Amino acid sequence: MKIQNTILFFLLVSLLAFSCKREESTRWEIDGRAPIASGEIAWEDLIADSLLDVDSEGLLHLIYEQSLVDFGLDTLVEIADTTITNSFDAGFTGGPIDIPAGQSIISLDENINMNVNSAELRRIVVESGVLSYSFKSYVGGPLDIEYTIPGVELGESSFGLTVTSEAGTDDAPWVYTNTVDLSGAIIDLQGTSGNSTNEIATYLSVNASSAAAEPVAVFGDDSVAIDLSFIDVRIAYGQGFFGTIESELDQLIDIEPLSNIGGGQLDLEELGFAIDITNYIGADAQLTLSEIKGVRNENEVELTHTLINDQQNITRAIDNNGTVLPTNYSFLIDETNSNIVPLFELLPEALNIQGDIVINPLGDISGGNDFIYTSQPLEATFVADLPLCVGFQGVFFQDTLEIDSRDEPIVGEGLLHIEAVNSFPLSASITLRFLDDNNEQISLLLENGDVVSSMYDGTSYVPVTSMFDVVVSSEVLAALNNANQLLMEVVLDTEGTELVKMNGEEKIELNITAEGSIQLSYE
Amino acid sequence: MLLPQLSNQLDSSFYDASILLGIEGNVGYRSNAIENGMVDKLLFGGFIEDELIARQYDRMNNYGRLGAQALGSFTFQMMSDSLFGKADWGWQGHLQSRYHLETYFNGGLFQAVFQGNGGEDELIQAVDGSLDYMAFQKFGVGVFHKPTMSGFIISAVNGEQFERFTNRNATLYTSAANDSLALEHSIFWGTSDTSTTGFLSGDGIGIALDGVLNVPLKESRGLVSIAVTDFGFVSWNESTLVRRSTDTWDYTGFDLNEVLDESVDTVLPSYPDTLDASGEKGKETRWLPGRVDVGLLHEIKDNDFFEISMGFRPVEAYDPYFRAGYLYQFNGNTLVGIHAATGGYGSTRFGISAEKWIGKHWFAALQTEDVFGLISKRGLGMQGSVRLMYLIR
Repeated sequence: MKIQNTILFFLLVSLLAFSCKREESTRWEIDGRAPIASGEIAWEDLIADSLLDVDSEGLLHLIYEQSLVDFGLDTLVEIADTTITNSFDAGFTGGPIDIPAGQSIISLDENINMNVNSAELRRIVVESGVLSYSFKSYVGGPLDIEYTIPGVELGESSFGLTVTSEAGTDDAPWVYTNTVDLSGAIIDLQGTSGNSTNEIATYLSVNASSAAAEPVAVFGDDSVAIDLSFIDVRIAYGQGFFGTIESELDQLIDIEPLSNIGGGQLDLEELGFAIDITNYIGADAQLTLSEIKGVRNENEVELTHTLINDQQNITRAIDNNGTVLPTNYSFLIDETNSNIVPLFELLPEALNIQGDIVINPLGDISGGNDFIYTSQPLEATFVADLPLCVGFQGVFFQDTLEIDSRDEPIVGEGLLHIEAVNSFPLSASITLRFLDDNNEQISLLLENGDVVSSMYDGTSYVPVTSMFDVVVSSEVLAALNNANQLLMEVVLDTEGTELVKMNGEEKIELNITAEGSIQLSYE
Repeated sequence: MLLPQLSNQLDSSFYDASILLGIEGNVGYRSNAIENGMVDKLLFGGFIEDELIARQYDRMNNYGRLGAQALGSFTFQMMSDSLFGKADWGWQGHLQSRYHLETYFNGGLFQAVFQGNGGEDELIQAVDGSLDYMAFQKFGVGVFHKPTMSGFIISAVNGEQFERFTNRNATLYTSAANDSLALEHSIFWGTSDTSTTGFLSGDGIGIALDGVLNVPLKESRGLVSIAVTDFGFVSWNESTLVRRSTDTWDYTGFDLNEVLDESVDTVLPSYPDTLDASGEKGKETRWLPGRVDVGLLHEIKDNDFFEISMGFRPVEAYDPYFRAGYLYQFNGNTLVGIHAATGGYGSTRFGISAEKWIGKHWFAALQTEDVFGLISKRGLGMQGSVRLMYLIR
């Protein structure tokens, strides 16, 4: 008994020792200093390399190309899913009639009308799609069924099917189903006559099976049924008459390099802007651009140029045995013949294009020989060549950086030291704000931290170093714990009214360090 | 256990017993710098005040040491049986489970972790440190000499877990401009098989020798003893993971270009991942946390004694250990003592002990090496042991 009591005592002591639980985290404060971030911000960090070019005189250009109009196949020809259900009978009443083995019961040609929009197509090449079919026989004996679609070329042969059915009944017909991949198929849409459009010729032959041991008893109401579906047919090439199609253009096209700019005024000396039209479609067109506007917030500048409201007749491309010879048109718009400079001084976020386009304005003058290759539509693009000899007046960039959520709040306070070595001939004023889920400011980290412009020494711009501190109070850190985004706002200005030339070598070397007290902890 | 050898009163009955059974528990930790108040917060949470941190640093005298252990054991000694016809010798054995941790760190590492790297000038902090943890169980048998209670046990060792981290010749560099941190290091980090954990997990096997040689002085006025504890090793299995890195890790902050590039996730460099990548699995043999003790117990008068002893462990975290004590015996069956000790993992401390024969079957011993540590948050450790023996006659 004494031993048992002793063991119990030790068990209790052990339980007490190991049942102590942590009620709170272990925390302490350290005085620390550490680098936060560093790096160089050069032009290529602000604008994609592919959009920058330096000319022979060492002047940096921003060259931006964007599609204005992309008028493709979907607009011209479209084949919706097409399903045909046909039932064929023996052509007599009553019965049964014994049909000897090998003797014909049904033989007929028929056209399938494809579900095409207004175009009158003669030939297509299928990019993708499937043909799904099903045969049912209600005849009470075996049949030889031959079904061909000579206009559908799959590889080197046309689509055809020969099957021998088994005996069927009204309640339990013989059924045969299959699916064919139409990718790459060439389809003749001229029907059984060879000169119609949007029609596919088919041929059906049904005989009493040649292998039947005895004549097949056929009733007059016995039938063979065919279900045929063209599903998700997408066209790689189409030929025919596309019809006369009139379309209105009303497109808002983002200008990505300028989309991060929040506002301000740009001073430009010159700007090259070209609109290029390339027609790869074998159809004539008339294009009229009634309006091109630069848009920023509520402000708009409308382009004035002879191109506006001037109908452009665009002749058809030529198909040289599969090689398309397009027709090209180019319109140069610059400071000498338009107001393109003031339009871009607005720093437009987008261009609003309005107008109309007519395909085959003169009807079927090609005799049904319009063509189109899906990958080569009619397109209009613009190329803006912006020489960066510019002045900035309060040009305002903003960007948000996502802040990862934290398991533990950051507790402490300190200073952020910011050192910027600037070789841009621009001064920058930086503001940093913490935002919550609703993009509402919950704390101001930095207001108008000034990075001084580089200095011109008579021959070149010499980098200038700016240093400033950001006080990170315990309140700011508390705000950081609730923040989801850091909003960075940068206002850029050039000195005076002189335009400054950028050579592409400009950069800001930034070095951010921190010091202060911070609470460390572990659970 | 001093009493059986010294007690004339119990001599005959003690040696007449057929089996001696014992259980022992010993739990404690000790440091030369880390107070109980700090250990309490490190283990159970709370805010560690700057003042407390500064006091630990001041106590450190360049290097901090801390050791902790928990031990539970069951022993038996066959008193009545002879050993191959030798009546003075008998069989003995034990089952023991031990958890041992020791850490060694210099002032620079402590300062970097608990005070930071603040200042204005270029700063180079030496940040050497090590941490060893081992858990193992022993199952052993041996022989002992009944008159002197000398003997030895050879044990098979089950390795439950080990973790060893050392960082030598390490410096943490902070540039004057605060724009660069660099950790020069030479790290070894070994971990036993993590796929199986817990008591008797069997991640390694080994062998250990425990022994004591008690040499009685003339006229039974005392004895000299030499003890070896946990002299042996464990061969940890092939799933043991060892990482090594001798390198300099630089940190200059986030790359601003990555921060501004929304298509790139900005993450802090993960140096532990680098360390993990260097990991190699394979067998690893490690010494057990053994020690050697040498002591002298000597009678002063009939009922009082003094003792002096020394202990050694050949590791950085453990200084040579010295202990001196005075013991007084009441009625031939109770022994109380006071002790002073210094070295080991800590500094000077004072303890008390009591041993008593209860009736003819039971023996109990209680001991703490540091009375102040038991009652004060400013103590530099806590320790206590209890031992119970039962004589089957």
